Amino acid sequence: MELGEANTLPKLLIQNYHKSAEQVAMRKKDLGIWQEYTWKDSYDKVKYLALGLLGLGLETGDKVAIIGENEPEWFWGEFAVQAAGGIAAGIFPDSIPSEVKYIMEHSEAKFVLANDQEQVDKFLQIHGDLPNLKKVIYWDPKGLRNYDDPLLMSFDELLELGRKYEETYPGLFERKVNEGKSEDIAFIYYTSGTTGLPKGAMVSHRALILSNKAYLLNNPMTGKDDCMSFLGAAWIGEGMFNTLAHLNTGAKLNFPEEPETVQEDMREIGPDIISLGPRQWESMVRVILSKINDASWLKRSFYRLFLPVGYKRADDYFQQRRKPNLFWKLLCSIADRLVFYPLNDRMGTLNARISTTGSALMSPDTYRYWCALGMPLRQLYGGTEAGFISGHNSENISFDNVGMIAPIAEVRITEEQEILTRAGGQFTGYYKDPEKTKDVVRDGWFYTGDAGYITEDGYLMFLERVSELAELAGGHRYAPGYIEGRLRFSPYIKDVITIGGVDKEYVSALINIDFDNVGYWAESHGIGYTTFVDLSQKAEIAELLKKDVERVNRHLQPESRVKKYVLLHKEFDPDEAELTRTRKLRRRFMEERYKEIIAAIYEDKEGLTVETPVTYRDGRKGMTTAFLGIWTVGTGAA
Amino acid sequence: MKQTTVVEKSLDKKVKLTISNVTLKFGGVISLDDVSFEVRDGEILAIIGPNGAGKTCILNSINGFYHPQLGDICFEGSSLIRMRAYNRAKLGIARTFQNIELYSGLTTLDNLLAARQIYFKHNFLAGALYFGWARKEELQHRRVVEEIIDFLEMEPARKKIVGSLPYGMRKRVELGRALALEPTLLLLDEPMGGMNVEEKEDMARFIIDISEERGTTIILVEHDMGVVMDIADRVVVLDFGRKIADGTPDEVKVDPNVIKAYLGVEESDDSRPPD
Repeated sequence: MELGEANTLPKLLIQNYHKSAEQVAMRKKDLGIWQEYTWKDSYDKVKYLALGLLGLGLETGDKVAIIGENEPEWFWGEFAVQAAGGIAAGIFPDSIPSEVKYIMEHSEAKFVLANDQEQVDKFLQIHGDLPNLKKVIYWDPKGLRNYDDPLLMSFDELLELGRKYEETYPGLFERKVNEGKSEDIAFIYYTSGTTGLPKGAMVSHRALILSNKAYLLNNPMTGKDDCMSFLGAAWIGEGMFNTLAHLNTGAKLNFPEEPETVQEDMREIGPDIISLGPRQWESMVRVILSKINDASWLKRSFYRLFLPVGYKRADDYFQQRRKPNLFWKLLCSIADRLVFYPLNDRMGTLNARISTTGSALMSPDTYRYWCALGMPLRQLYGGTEAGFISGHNSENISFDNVGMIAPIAEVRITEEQEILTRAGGQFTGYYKDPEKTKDVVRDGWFYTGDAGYITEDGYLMFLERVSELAELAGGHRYAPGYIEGRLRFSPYIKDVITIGGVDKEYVSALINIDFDNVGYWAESHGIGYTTFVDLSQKAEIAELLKKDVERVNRHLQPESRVKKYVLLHKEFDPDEAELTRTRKLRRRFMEERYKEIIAAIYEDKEGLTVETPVTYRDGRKGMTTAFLGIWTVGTGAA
Repeated sequence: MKQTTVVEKSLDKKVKLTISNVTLKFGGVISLDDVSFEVRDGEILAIIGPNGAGKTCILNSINGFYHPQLGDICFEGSSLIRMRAYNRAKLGIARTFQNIELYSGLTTLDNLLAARQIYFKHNFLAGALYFGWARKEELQHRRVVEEIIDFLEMEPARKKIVGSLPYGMRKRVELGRALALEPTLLLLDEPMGGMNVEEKEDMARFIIDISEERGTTIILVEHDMGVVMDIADRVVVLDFGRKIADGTPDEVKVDPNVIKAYLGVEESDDSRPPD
């Protein structure tokens, strides 16, 4: 697979501009109305932002950090930085100042493109420690009227500067873009890092474009398609699957009004392509289940009546692959009209021709559920460092494997079952860290740290992180992520971590209840509660959750079954470093953090009192105290 | 009684509202007893005091729910005392209530649009046909309302039925509805009552933003001392219907009359803030 003439992101943008200047490129809801931006709008913004940055003194290879919600300005900023010869570095918008400071120091960014007052405040707080930082340029002026710090500048001012700069240096923008080479670094992705400090993975234009082209082979798209852009823009998933598809095919990017309105906005757009992480698909299932609970008796009955039809269709689809007979076809079409179409319409997934998932483990139950609703999810396998490795196309969707290996990728399996990859989308190296790069890339092969194998018919199987396959005292090996994924399918469980290890006889679980859904259940059963802590420790709630644990246990080998569980008094929180910003568990950190609870579980206590230090978002610290019950799953359930 | 101290910052601004010698009685109960103070253009004035001190009575007298027997209330130089409540709203006085008073069966958007009613010019029939001027007018009002939704970050609630929203959000919708009247004087009755810390912080930020970005004069009745001391330019303290202090938050904090009213001690050199 080869790159075309347009071998960088800005060149692709200009190609689209020449081809379809008046076509809609992006949509963003503002003041309740979908505002449209054509390719010409995008081109103009990118051009003058780039010239503005050059006017401020941006030099080739300089880093520019971008922080904010997914909005057109984020991406115009990214393309402008790249067009001017700079390198973009994304920061997740909910990062606390210390995290922002780390990335700013590490990347030595000269400029920052920031969303709004919330983000600007972070830089005003830390800019004394950042000697390289010259300007913070914001695009949403709300609340910033009375700020007069010379560090700040608005997008409009930068655009104006760009226009003036063009008068002095006509043709500079085109020249700069043409100087760009496909091997140039386009973006430094700070990997969320399930262990230790974030690492800056440098990814070239070539890697991004090739990864996306390989993805498009499986998932063909055109300029008529609508995508929803709300995967964190600082994460490579958004770049690989949405931004690049936008540039490679001209597909429209739609931005939600606010992170909280995604569901409604999605319904209004009815996207043709939906790429979400496993947690987001799982949380949508939770939304559906709780809405069904809330629905009228008639709707609930129809749902219960026809869900088995959907499940049968899912099982046919995945296991036997036999053609359904006329009777089943008829039944399915009734079920679709009465239940599944309206349900998908509500969720905004009705038009989705392609729906994909990736990033971490997802429970088979979630796949099965979505398939029952008529939406088989295609899996993608890859990563920031590896690039795009494998995925399903419309013909071979399955929840066992992660699809066929892409033509740009090669895969090898080591004796320890580790997956090694060598792909066109592979990263260039970690920024300022050749040692770590050497650790993971040897002879051109990237060591993914994932355990897996290749099946006889050539599909890639992914099991679990090699380091996270866990062992029990008896030598039994089990996959914690698999059990957690199954448990998370319950509408009452928001998050869960399983505990095991060579010094433990059995598996136990620390569970975060889903406050909304459990609260609703408690209300409708006449159980009063005050706070999250109070609700989580009710005996009735423990009984409710026990049923879920037993359900999961039925699918596990007897040695892997969860014997005890604790309902935690607080939620896992990325602010306290328990989860990464993409909501993956930081397992070792959590085991350390909850070691007293874990010790109490294996000492067969009935419960314990815990004091937990809490770090608030603004950096203050506090303490909470609670009595936690330890609950045992009856042996009869096993 | 301690003399009125006016913040220097607001001295050079013109007077927005004057309350002079207002007395309000319900039968034998004297709710407000000869209360006088001034509110200057663009300031945030907080009225505090123990329960039953007459705080809400002041707001009710200003916007026309109650009619004081004695004294006068002047808004931008003209007397309000004989004016009906809806005419006072047209002058640019809007308020929120201690207990939320919204159309709970309508959406947030409709609640805000309903507040625009005083600005609608077309008649019922033109509105029903949604044609020409009526359409144009509707769009104008929708824009104003959408800007308020954006300002108060209520997008997720836009099309939700107000009755189904959480308490903190309903409080915000009520504030939004008051803003939809495009007031120059905003009366807020316990805007943070019953809220958690995070909601209070949001609300405090909105109140400051309203004052700074829209230049609206704000009178605020609030129990949360921390909030009052943080955001108010000036504080008026009432006790048993009488004004006992008037000044900057720092002055009021150490005022012996205020400490007495809150702590109920005869004499004290304790300079703790009333809380």
